[in-house]
Amino acid sequence: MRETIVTPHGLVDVDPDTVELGELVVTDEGSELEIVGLDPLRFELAPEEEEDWGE
Amino acid sequence: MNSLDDEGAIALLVGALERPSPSGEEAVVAAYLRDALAPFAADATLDEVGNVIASVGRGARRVVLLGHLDTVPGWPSVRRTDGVVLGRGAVDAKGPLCAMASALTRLSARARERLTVVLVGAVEEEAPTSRGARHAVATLAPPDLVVIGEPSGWDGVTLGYKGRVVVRLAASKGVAHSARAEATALEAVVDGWSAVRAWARSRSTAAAGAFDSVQATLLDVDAHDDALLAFASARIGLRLPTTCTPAEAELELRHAIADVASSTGVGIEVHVAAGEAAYRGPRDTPLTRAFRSAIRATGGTPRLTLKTGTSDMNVVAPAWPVPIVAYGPGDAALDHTPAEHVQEWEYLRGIDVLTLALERLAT
Repeated sequence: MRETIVTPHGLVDVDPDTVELGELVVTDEGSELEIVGLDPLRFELAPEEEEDWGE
Repeated sequence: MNSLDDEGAIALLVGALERPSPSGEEAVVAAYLRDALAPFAADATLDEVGNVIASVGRGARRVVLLGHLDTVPGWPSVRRTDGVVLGRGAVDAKGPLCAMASALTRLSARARERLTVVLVGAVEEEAPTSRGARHAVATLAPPDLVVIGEPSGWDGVTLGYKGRVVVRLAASKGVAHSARAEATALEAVVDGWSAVRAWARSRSTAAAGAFDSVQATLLDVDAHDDALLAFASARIGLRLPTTCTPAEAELELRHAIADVASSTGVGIEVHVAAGEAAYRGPRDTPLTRAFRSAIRATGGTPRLTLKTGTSDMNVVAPAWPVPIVAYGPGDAALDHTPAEHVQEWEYLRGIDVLTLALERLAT
């Protein structure tokens, strides 16, 4: 069942039974969060993409 | 169940570095890796082009780990000292390849039940042919997930690489006294280079980063004459974003160079070598989730990177439209340098991340 969870970066709507570690979700404020813990659910800001030289 | 421990994993890398393998000369290191993997993967073999192929597991989810055996030329002495392994290929990319091979040996019984993990040690990644990767995509069963073995740093995951194409401009004209006002062959080629650079800038916005811009690099210039004709040529490397395919680049450059030829009165030939299109994968796939969570579980904060270089991902991604990332321990800034080395702790951490990511894909 989906739940709305309050985070420091806004509200996020997820189903705690189906989310995966590492999954990205977007809050109602437009922040992209990564799920870093499942029990209890924990979120951190998702990493931005960086440019890097080479292979 | 047999597996390579940390010391065995480092010995595997040192042994690979001790067998030099510039592109086209990978046979010795290929045989070494095949033999080293034989106790862990009964089917370890070499394919028709010299790729090492070895698989573990019999599960429904098929994962290809594709690294490369070859290196650029050069021969920094192989040394293991003070927790550092130094040698050509330590970063690009025997380090990542041996990390993948080591992880393969460490898979749990559960992962072996749920995954089939196929390791490919490909030939000729550093050559324009990408022969090993092309053969792999033509001959292996399509996978569900692909990991390319290239240095991202142990806590980094690479999502994409720029495309590339090499262009050669060539002009010739009857030798004339330099006091004449007409453009020379060399001047026409120089004007052609200026037109290519202007085109590259027109294809990039001020806000675009390096990954989203066209980068033009003048690789070499030649000018000579045989007393009757003067010849000039320039070789130009183009790094392309996802918004510009090699075919589009060629078409637009031919128009730009035709304008130069018209204004200088000197015909300029445009030769374009076959190139690779850029690739940028999505941020959120089963594969990126597995790597992000594995990096966090190993004590890191994951980084997502986009590379301005090119790799076998550019060859593999169009053929296998499945989740794909590049991963491997090592600092890509050391690619192709005489100081190429990897810290042992980072190499081992990379093996841990690879192993854990594969385990998570088996859940």
